[in-house]
Amino acid sequence: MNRTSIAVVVFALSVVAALALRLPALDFRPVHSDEAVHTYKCNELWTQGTYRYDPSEYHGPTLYYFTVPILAACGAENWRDTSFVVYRLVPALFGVGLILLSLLLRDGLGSWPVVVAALLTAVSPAMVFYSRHYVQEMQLVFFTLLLIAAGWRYVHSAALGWAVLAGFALGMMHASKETAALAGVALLGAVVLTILLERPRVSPAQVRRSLRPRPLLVALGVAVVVSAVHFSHFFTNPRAIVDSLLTYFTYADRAVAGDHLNPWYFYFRVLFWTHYPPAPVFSELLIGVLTVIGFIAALVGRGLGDANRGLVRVIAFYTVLLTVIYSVIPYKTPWSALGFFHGMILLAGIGATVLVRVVYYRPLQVAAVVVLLAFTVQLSQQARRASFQMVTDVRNPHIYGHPVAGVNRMIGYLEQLAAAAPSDAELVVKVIVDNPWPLPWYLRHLEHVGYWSEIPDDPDANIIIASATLADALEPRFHDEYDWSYCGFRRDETLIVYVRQDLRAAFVAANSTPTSAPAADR
Amino acid sequence: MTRMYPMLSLAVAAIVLLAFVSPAIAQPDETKPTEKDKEKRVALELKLPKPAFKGTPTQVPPGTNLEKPRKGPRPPLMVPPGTRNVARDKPVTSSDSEPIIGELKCVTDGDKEARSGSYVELGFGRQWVQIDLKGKYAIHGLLVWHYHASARVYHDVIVQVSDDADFIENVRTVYNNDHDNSAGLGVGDAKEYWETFEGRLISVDSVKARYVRLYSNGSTADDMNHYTEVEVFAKPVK
Repeated sequence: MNRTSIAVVVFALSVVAALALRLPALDFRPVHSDEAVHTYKCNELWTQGTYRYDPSEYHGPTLYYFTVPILAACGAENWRDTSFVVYRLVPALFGVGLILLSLLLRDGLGSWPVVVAALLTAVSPAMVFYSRHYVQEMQLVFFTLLLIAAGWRYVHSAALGWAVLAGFALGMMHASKETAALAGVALLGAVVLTILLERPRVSPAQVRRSLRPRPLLVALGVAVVVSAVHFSHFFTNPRAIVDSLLTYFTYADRAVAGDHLNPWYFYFRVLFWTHYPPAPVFSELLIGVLTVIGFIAALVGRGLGDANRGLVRVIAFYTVLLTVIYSVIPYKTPWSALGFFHGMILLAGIGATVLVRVVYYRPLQVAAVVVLLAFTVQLSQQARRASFQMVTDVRNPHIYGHPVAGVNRMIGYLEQLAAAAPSDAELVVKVIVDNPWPLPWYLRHLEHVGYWSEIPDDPDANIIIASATLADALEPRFHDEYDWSYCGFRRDETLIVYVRQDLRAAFVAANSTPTSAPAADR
Repeated sequence: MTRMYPMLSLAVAAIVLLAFVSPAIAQPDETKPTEKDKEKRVALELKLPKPAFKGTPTQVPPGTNLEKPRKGPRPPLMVPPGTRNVARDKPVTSSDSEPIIGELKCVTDGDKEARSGSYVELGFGRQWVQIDLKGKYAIHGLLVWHYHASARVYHDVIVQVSDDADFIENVRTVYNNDHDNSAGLGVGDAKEYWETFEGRLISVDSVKARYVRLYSNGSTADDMNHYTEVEVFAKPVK
């Protein structure tokens, strides 16, 4: 088997590994409030055929546009019929698509850097976790890579088609999430820095040829049209096009004040070192180390083999600039790291190849490959732990405002209570919680559910779900008798589930199981 | 002929008696304690670990299903003489074959202290550990420590025993505090309780089985499942 065949096999195995880590048990982890809100927004587009951009929340609409065809293919008729598997399938497919897309960079970076990057993308705990998380981040990363790859191929070939594709990618980035602007700025800065660094070897004529106005204008035009079509919902709401730009004033304010303000090193801690002894370490330091090697190789321009130095430098500068931008902005959520982290993974692919290449002694080369493979296996173990074992655990660096398993337990209880109720029409559920999401997703099957942020005048119902902090004020206002139990909701947030005694009795009658011998608790 | 009547009557009576008695002799109900078991009882001696904390936290509302803290010492568990912990160093299997912390052997290694290295941590959701007692025993009690380094309440604590490792045949539930059937094994009548250094002492009425399986479904501290030690007090079935 020659080197090319081995590279093809490793790439194919990377795709298989990516599928194996992304597709199983997509509804296993409790639904995050952001995810639940997005399903609700998507439902409006799907069932009513409408979409109205809100410049203050929810980001762009592309996530919903990609979800609707899958919902339709699954045969569900409304929100109630859907499973969360369908929603999370969208980022999962983009997560796998990201690997396939990297093939477009094969003649720019070389086969092995692309193969190594594919393998690392497939098993990276962060990449796996957020490929199973229904938010816009994975598509933003996908379209950013498409922009880089199409842009590179346009510069390489001068074919207008690649410029059009790059424009499409830029438009999709903008229509996915506002932070596309950060990636755009970083990429522009990276191109300028690369031109400055390459200037002695690249003639002004070559630069001018690559930056001819007509293809660039065509690309920009395509980007504007693609973005405008999405935001305005096919021009039914033209105001949204303006709002999609004005929203940056809102996000500029939010970037420095309010929730989610974290220290500059937040992303480094999330990605490279999270350890709560005696629990195992979460660390993608392997990628960090290889990134540094790749960056040094890009700067000095040595050890790159067949890779195009200009492209390597663009990726290197883009990654560093985007990392700095995200680290400087006080507003930080773990999934925001994906943009620059994928840049790091591409650089790590280069770094790994450089590392093996500079070790001339054959046994040392073999040892380097074995060590890299061992670390890669360890990454995949971390990915499994993060996405299948510690899915609500705060020791998992990617758990951020996620609900705890108590939600799953409570919903199972409510479904059984509903089954024990005389009829759906008679079952009234009152939810008295300041921020109830993701409960509306979980309670979507029930007919009569109401939500209050404060205690209503008449709080009685068959089932009442209330914040534990309201218990003292709520209970004296009950007219009926209730069985009650607590359940975790989010970290440091507990709910109480009150079940009216008649319903509780029906539930117990339907579900009780005798112990074979009376267990005298001591 | 008349002399034969008493003999004949005795023979018929013996046959009738055997007809009723023989099934009981051939197939004794092993789940019920025998008269001999009930004869003598002695207080079971327990070796407890050092306490790791005092008191119970207040941030978790008690709920209808949470046991009130006990006042005074725990009543002794009365067992037949010769009853001992038969779980020590016995093999342990689990629904989670890759524990996050520790090894499954922690469950029966005799180390019940509240320190790192003494417990095994299993993943999210409903999980179980299973002890193979390597023979059939008449079980009189269990003592279970999930994790007692901090105050917490474990959910859906269910103990079942069985004659087969797959828990298909003759499965008996000897403890169940699942209030809402979230474990899917039925609603239990026991209450949830705070973990302490004393562990949870469960009285079992001489139920005969080879395998013991313990379920849990996370705790008030987190969604993971922990087992520090499980002791099974029993006597071999002859």
